This record gives sequence, structure tokens and C-alpha cells, in this order.
Amino acid sequence: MFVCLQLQRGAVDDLLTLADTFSPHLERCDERTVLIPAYGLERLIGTHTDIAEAILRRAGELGVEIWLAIAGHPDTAMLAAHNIEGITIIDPGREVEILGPLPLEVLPTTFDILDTLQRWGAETLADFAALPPLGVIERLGDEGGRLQALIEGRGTRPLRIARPPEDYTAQVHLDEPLSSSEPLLFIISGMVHDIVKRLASHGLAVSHFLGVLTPLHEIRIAFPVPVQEPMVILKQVQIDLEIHKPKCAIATVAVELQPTPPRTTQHGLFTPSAPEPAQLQTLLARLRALTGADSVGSPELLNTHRPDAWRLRQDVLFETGRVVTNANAAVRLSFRCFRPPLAARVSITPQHRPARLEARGMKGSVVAVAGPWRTTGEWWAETEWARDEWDVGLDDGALYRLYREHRTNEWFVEGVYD
Amino acid sequence: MSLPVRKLIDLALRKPAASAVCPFTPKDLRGLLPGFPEGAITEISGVRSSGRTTIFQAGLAAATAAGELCAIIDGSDAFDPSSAAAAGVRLERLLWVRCRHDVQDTLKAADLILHGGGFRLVVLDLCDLPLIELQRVPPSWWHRLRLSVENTTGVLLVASTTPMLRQAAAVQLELSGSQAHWPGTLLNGVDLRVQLRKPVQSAGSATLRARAI
Repeated sequence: MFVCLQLQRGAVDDLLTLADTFSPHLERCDERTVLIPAYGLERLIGTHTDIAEAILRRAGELGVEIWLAIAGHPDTAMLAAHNIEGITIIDPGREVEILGPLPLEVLPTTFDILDTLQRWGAETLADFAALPPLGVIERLGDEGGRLQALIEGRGTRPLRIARPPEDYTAQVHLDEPLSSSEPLLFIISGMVHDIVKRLASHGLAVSHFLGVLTPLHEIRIAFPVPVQEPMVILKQVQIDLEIHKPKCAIATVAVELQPTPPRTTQHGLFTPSAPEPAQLQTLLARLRALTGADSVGSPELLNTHRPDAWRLRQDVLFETGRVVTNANAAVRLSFRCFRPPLAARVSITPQHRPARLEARGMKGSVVAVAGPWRTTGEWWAETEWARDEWDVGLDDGALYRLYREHRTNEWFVEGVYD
Repeated sequence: MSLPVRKLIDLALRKPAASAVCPFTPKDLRGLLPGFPEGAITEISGVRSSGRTTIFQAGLAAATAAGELCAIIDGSDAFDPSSAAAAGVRLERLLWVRCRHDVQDTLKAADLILHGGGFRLVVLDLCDLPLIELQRVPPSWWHRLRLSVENTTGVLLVASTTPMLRQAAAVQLELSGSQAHWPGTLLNGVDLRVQLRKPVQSAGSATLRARAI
């Protein structure tokens, strides 16, 4: 049996308090209606009438006015509580008798179905319940069957329990401030293990880690794939603490883990092998610690004609999968960049073509030349460029790409064909 | 009763165990080298414009096209993503580590990636790094890299100006004497001359044409 409380007058918070007094499991049907299970209350309070009176007594103490209904199906109880004043107790088998006099308009359904029922001559719920169930389903489909079951209190469904938002945080005030990372990591480890266990019990994983070490230190880690292993999180925290050591002694440690649904993948026998996501995250963190945060990632070309325009994707997942390709494709000559471009001294022929090149690590006469190709762009931004490019071959066999900046009239070696 | 002692001549004539190769070499090179050996180091050396980058980018293009994950440890920060994409490298399957001319970081990054595992083709680009610093690297480092990749299905390509790995490399390719084609006023392509120095019994040379992009 289920109890439905419909708020008529008073505050919604008081209605929730009232429901919570009798059961921790409640379903919020709408803003002013809640459902609670009656099982358990029968042993505590007594009959359904005693339960209803106890609830009304408590409602009076809280200063709220409610309509109350008790029925075997939660939706039947809700239908009665919405439309019948005061207390309604519907014993199993008496649903049609009690709800029957209500007009058809109280049914929670579409206007088309109500219109059809009225054209059939049904005016009350009792008229609708009297119709043959098979004929109703044939003409109105599953919705017709559902509405008849609702009036007759047939079937059941579990309550959709409303849970308060979980708090995946933890905080520890230290007796003595700590300055070295190892004991800090030990404290964070216990907190992370506890929170991850709670997350896992709710079927969740971690997407972000936030550690606030008071005063003046913060650790933010975003995981490209959801993580459920505390050791993976702690490894990244350890690497972060090694790179960014706290500048002063830490008095309070607060940890927050952001929940996310866990990752689901479909494995295949013929899928090329790839690093485990957890191992890959640790590897990337170690590489960032070694070479710098902006030095590791998957390159992505930018949508521009600007030379050397790319960015490193940090949240890289490295999706694998075979691509249909021509295995015998022609080999393309590759290019190596000098970053930054090398300043060069270039001698010019009377025909305005490069004749001799001198730059750091290279010197020689130009024996072959192609160009110039003028490229300009992004004149509206700070990234504006305007230059003439040349491909040159030196007498030692090396092939370089030179360019002359229009603005400064200076020459640079952009890179080498290799 | 005689003991089963194998004759010295039998040992000398014993064929080396067949090793698996990844067919990631360019088509014109397959006569000389059918593929890069798995679980071993292939060293590619040559001067500027000899085609070292072209060879390893062709390998990256073939491997990423087959759905494999690859990594490039870029010692001199010279990797050009647009050139690689034009050569057929699927950038979304490539991990790029920029080591900004630091030899020690470059070797450490390679060691981390090889120990992490899961990457089919790893390129260690040592071209343009100071030769004097590279020559100071103890041979044990190269052997450590060899042991890291051994007994895995991974391939390690090391690109450099001069051969340095000696016994640590299973295959040594040397590039020299490339010939650029300038029909009219355009760089059309380069003929790369590749010499297989190691293994000695397969030594030979081949020429392949790399078209300018």
C-alpha cells in the first residue's frame, strides 16, 4: 500500500518534512504531491485509518493542509489524493467503487483519448472501467489498458525514490601543519579511497579531482576518461605535488571528486591494441612533468592557412580503429620546422632571387630555387602574416624553405625538406 | 654412449630465428626491407635532406592508417603536423612529445613511453640535436631502450644524423646522396638513396621517389 499526500495549503518544505517524518523513501510526483510507502507503518502505527490520522495530526502541527489517499497502486493513490478531499482509504478491490463517480477529465491522459471516450458515451471513471479491456486496448492501444488498470488499481510499480544530491567531498584539519608531500599524499589517499568507494557504490566514476590545501595551494586534475581506481587518481596527485610543491605548511586538506557515469567500451578481437586508459593517463602526467604541460598531446591542425598553425589536444583519448587506405600510396617529401625560424642573411641576384644563404648551422650557394609564393592573411588580428616563400637547394644538397617578411624585410629559414 | 654435443659447424650454420616484421615501410623499399622488425630498434641515419623524416613519416602514416597508436619523441621540436598530415599520418592517433633540444629529456621520454607500452610504432627523432651531446650518451642507454622494446610487438625507429646505436639496433638504414628534381622552377620531388647496413647478410641499397607536397 502507498500513501499519497497532496498539499492544499502551506509550504512545500513542510510537506517534505511531513513525509520524511513517516518514511525516508519518498517520491516527488510533482511540486505539491509526494508518495511514501505504507508498509512498515502498519506495524508501527496500526491500521490504515490510524496511519492517515497520525499523518493528519502531524500535518496540523506543521501548519499544512493536505488531502491524503492510501491505495495499493501508487498512481491510484495519487489519482485519489488529487481529486478527493480529505482522507481516502482504498482497500484492494474497492478502487472502482470509490473512484468510479469521478469525471473522466481527472484521468492523466491526452485530450484525444478523453474526447474518444466521451464520444463512446463514458462520463465517469466507472463507465470507462465497465468497458471490455480487450476492446479498449484494441482501440486505444497500451495507453487505454494503462488507464483502466489505474482506475482498477491493477499491477504495481516501484517508487522513484528522490535522493538528495550526494556530497563527494572530504576535509581534514591537521593538528600540525605539514610541508612535505609524502604525509600529505598519505592523508589525501585515505580521503580519496573513501570517496571513490562511495562513488562506486552509486555506480559512478570520477571525472575531476580538486584538492584545496589551505593555505595557498590547489590541485586540479581533469581525467580524459572516467576513473574508478583510487591508485590512478593518487598517482596523478603525486606527480602534481612533485611538480608544484606547496610553498608553505599545509593546515587543512579538502578533497572534492566530481562524479560522472563510468566509461563503457566495446572490445573486439581484431581491434589494434592500445594503452589502458588509466595507464595512459599516468604516462601523460609523467611526460608533462618531464617536458612541460604544453609539450605533450595529440596534434590538431587549425582551420587557417597561417603557417605552422596547430594545437596540442591534451584531453586526448586516441580512438583506435582500422581505416581503409591505400597501402601503396606514394611517398611524400616531409618537412622539418625550425622553431623559432632561423634568422638568415640572403644575397640576392639582379633578378631578385636568392643566390647565397647564411644562417646558424648552414652556409652555401643556392644552386636551385623555386618561388616566390606570396602568402598573406589574418590582417585583422595580431597573428597577421605577409611573406614571400622560396624553396632553395644549396650546393651541399640540403633543401630549405626561406621566407622574407614584408613588414620588416627580413629573411628567415622556416625549415628543411628531409 | 655419446653425449648430444652439437658440432661447432652446426651452430655456425644455424639460421637466425625468423622475426615478425610490421609492413610499415614504403612500397619501393620493401624489396630491400620488407618491414620494420617487431620488438627491435631500427636506426635511420643521414644528413639534412637525405630523407630520414620522409621514411619515418611514411611508417607513421602506414601504422596510424592501420588503426595503431604511435608516438613521436621530438628531440629538436621539428615535427611539422601539416606536413605529416599531408603524408598520410592520422594525427588523432599520434602522441607528440616536444623535448625542445634537451637530450636527456628526449631519452627519458622515450624510456617512459616504451615502458608504458601500447604504442605500436615509436619514433625517437634525434636529428638536429647537438652531436657532441649525443655522443656522450652512454651505450647502456641505447641497450636499455632495446630491452624496453624487446619481447613486445612495438617498433622503435631512431632517426639521427650519424649512426650511434651500434649493437642496440637490429636494422640500420643509411640515407645519402639524395637527388632533388627541379623541373622548371618547382621542387617536384627527391630521389632518396637508402642503404641497408644491418643486418649485414641483407645489405644492399634501393632508391625511392618522394614527391614534394
